[in-house]
Amino acid sequence: MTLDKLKDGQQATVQGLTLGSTAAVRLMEMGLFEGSPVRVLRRAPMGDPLEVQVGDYRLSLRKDEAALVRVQL
Amino acid sequence: MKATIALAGNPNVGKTTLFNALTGLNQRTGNYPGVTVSWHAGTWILPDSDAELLDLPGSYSIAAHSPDEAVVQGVLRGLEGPRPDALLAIIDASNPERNLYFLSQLLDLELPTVVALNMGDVARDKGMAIDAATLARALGCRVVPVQANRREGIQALSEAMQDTLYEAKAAHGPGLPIDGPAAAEPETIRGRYLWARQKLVDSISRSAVHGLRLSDRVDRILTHKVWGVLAMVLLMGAVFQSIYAWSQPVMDLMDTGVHWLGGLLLRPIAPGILKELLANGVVAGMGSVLVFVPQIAVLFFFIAILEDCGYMARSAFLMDRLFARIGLSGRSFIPLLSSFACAVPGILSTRTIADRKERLTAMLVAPLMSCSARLPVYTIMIACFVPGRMLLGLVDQRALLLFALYALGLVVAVPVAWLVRKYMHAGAAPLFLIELPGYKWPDWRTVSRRVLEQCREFLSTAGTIILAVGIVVWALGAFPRDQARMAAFDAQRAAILAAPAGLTQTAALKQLDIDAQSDRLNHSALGWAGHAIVPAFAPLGWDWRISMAALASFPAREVVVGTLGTIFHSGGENDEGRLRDALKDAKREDGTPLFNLAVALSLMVFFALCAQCASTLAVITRESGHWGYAAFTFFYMTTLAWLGAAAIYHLTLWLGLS
Repeated sequence: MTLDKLKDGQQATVQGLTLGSTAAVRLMEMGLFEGSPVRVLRRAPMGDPLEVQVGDYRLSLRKDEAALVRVQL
Repeated sequence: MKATIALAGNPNVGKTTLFNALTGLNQRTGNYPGVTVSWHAGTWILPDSDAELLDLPGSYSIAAHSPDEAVVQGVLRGLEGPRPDALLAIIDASNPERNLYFLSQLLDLELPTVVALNMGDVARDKGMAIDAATLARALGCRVVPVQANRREGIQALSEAMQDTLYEAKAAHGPGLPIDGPAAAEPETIRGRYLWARQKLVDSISRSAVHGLRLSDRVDRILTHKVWGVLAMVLLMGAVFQSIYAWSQPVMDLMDTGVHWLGGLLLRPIAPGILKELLANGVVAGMGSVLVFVPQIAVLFFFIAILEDCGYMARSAFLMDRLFARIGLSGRSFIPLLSSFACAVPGILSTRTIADRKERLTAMLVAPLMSCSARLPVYTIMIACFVPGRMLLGLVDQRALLLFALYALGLVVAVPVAWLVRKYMHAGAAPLFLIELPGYKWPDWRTVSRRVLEQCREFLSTAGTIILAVGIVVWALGAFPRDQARMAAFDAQRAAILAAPAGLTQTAALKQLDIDAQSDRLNHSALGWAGHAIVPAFAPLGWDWRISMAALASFPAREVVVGTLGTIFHSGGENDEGRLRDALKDAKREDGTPLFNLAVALSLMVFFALCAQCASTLAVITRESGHWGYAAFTFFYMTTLAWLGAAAIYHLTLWLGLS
């Protein structure tokens, strides 16, 4: 399962990332890597982007990037 | 030697507030060569000496993905001048892990370092506390708790920095790669985060917090699918209205002030070419520069507040989906919205867009938004040539047309932005990865400083170009001058003056001045160009007079009403009623009316789409770093304007609406 598929309010743990893009490096630098707890808080009016709790802060990212993040409930 | 200290940290951690607290009013700003990243430097008074404090752009990493990050790395490694003597790193106590990730990179640069631990109040609110002394032992450098927004801990920070400068002992991070592909390896990034966790393990304590924090409750409403959008529409409406409502009186006042002051200063100068240059070239040019300042000040007042309190990121979040389809992101929303008031501050505000390709694209389409300077053309043409009629008993067709003209720029911007992103700035869509910081009250010193700085920078850079253009345009309209024609007008004036004084004489003199002005414009370089360009504008239904008016408004579209007044011998813009009559009465050589619905529509569409604003082009040159972008904007907009105007003209004729 990937981060973009989580329902609003659902908590999960990052399992890994689809590597090979700048986006993936960025996501890791922002704290999304194996073992990080994440929670989707809500989605913007047209369903994209997402607001996600990453550790102690909130990050907004698009579904395309969220799809790079594999998570486990 | 004065020591140089660099200030670095993540965005949204109070870095600018701390910088202002440390340096007071003693600041200078500028741009790094080749990139549109600005620097700020100021004097930090330490206990024993003064130091130069350099505020680096806020960033999440020094791995050089963006121009901002490249600058941070360049400065700290000594590639942008001498290497700083020490580093002041600011971290957010309420989000320590990600802040320590960046700190690990900074420490690996091995400069003597002091860490400022900010936002302890927010951390407490989240049920977290970090012990500075324990963290200092773990990191091996001084850690000083500060509360930058309340100016707390500043003295302790100065003392710690003074001691660190004396010791001149390099700090050490985890010793992982900070540059090249190795820095972006998953192992490196994970290694840094593990280091951060390990450094925090003894110094951080967490307790459970019950209920939602105020910031989270606010966020729940402001990012809500319905309430959030509603709040944003209201907020943006208020911002937009203030740009109009607050700026206009100040703009009028400035205009009057400049002309009054100009008149006062020029009084001792004898009438002649020098006085005309100073009055119509220099003073008028300065007026046209200053007139932008109120709008820039008001817009940046709001932008600074929205950014500082954390709302800016939310507006980008709400609007991103719409902009994503044309290869932009939610970050472009506010710059493009502001361009409906005026493209100059709109383009300046694209600095809030992190991605360079997106920023350039937003800059190129910003002038398509119908700015307030287009409104006079719309209103006078609609008032004269569009009959008022209720459509479906609901809306006046004149109001509908005005709305359509505003929408036109927006509708055209969509394919233009899409094409520019696809062919000119091809590449992956900008990465939309933004932090949604906790809400806080804006820091008024940060806000006022931002406004002052933006106005000052506009005046010193774009302002000089606009002034120069103003002088050139005056010269084109004033030269070459025909002595024989001027003598003829002087003779007429003498004849009128010879007659008995009275109301008739005053009116005759006034009309003579208008006629002389009109005659001079017709025979100037600009007038000559107006005649020469007629074939190019004929498909739009224009004669030489309309062509010349359009040509004269290329440097600044707002002068068109005044120019039309001069051309149609009806006096300046102060007499709009007379100008309307003159426009309605104007005839072509074959005796048919010059204006009809088709010509009025073609002129309005032309003004809606054309790049008739030297100030905008100057600001694009300045902000993009290359005049080519301004040239491209001018070219594509003029082409679109011509095509659009020709199309509406022939369509109206074909439909038989004229």
